[in-house]
Amino acid sequence: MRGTALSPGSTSLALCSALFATLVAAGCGRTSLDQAFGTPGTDAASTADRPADRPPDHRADRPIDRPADAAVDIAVDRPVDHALPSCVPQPEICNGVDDNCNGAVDENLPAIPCPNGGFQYCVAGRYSDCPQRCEVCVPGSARTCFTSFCTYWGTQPCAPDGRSFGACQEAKSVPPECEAIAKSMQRSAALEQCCLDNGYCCVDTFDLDNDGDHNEMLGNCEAVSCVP
Amino acid sequence: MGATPCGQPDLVDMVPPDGAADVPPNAKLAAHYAASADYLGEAVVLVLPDGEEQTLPATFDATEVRLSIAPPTPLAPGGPYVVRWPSLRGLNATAPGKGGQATFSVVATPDSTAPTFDGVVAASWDLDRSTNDCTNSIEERFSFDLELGIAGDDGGRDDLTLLLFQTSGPAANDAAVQVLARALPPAGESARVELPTGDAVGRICFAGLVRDTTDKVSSSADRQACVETTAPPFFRGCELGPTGRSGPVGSMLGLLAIVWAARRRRDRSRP
Repeated sequence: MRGTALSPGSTSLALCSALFATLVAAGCGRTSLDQAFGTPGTDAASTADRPADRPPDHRADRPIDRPADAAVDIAVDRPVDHALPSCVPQPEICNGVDDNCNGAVDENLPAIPCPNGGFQYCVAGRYSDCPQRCEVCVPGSARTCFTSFCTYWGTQPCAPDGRSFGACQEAKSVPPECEAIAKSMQRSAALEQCCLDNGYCCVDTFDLDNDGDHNEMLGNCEAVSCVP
Repeated sequence: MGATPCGQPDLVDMVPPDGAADVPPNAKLAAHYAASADYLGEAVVLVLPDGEEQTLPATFDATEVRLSIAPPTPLAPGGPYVVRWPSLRGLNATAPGKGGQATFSVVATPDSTAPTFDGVVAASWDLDRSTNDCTNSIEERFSFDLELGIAGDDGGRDDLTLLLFQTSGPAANDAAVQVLARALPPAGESARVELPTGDAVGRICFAGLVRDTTDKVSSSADRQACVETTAPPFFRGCELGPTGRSGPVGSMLGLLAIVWAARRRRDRSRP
């Protein structure tokens, strides 16, 4: 019996080894494997990408201010690098290309002031978006959400880094102005409407604005929203 | 944006920093606060070397959460100067956060040229998944450590602000997105950017530039550093014990032991 008892284990070893090899090949178990074999993200992809090292009209680097067709045409017209004509100096613009033939790309381009503060800078061949105070919500703020049990009313605090909301935490009580609706209609569009009507910042769970977004917030959200 | 405990509107850094010895006479002085800070006209005080205190009109840039003052006349060389940054209140809290003050001295040469910066030269990533006491929720963040190239300026390296942008990834499809604006870390130190999972899976690239105290910026944002990230959950099927002790081979041996024990129990139970 002892001799045969090893047999299943041998089979499992073969199976698990095959599974392990398959997962490694598929890139699964990244964190576990990286913990065992090295630091995450130090793979070959984690190297600096310098546009100067690429063909100037690589389609992935096509500047936003150039028409796509033009970029394709240029790429077709210039099949190999050694066929490139000599550089013809032009005023430098934000396009990821050395327009003025001085060996530098997108240098000394002015920042563009944004209406709500901050600037747009020429970054990677395109002007950046106007910056925002935070990504998702103002740290320390909270919005009203709706639970599916007990009081049906809750709060969703913003994470300290402003990059996400936490889970909806049920409130112990419903504000008096919406208490009756919570009791009669429970978690409902009517309760969300009551939330909005009474000046709260509310999760649009029931898509009251019919834009298909159930995760946005509506109402009095000035202190919650990242847009200044 | 730096995280502060439960969103307190604390001062995060100052440009120039405390102890700076090479501030140009035409410098604009600035301080960054946590994202929840709001400016309601609190006084920013500049103390001159002779002890005179000047309350200067301040400008608040809410997008960068940056309070700045521009002395009306060039600062006289020498020092020490002191700038007192006020405690600001939060958008959602009445209690003020922490302010700060920086002592610095001024050099004779004005800052006249744009700073130089080799840009973001390498990136690595990791995933942090931990319970946040402020939200009572598990927060998942991809953290990116960005290795910075050499930076310099005729106004001094200490007086530079680092601006980092995500140039590729779900959040940066149409244009680069500014993800950090902070005082430039000391030479040799990397900068850390944390992004939520939704913005950080796939090919993620970053670029950066530095800005001096006269608002001139480096021409470095054409250089990008990229990583390829993987979305959680990660496969942990063969991991039965602490990886530090046993590693993947140990984990598989543990799995084999369980299978073997189960088969043996089944064989024993047979008549």
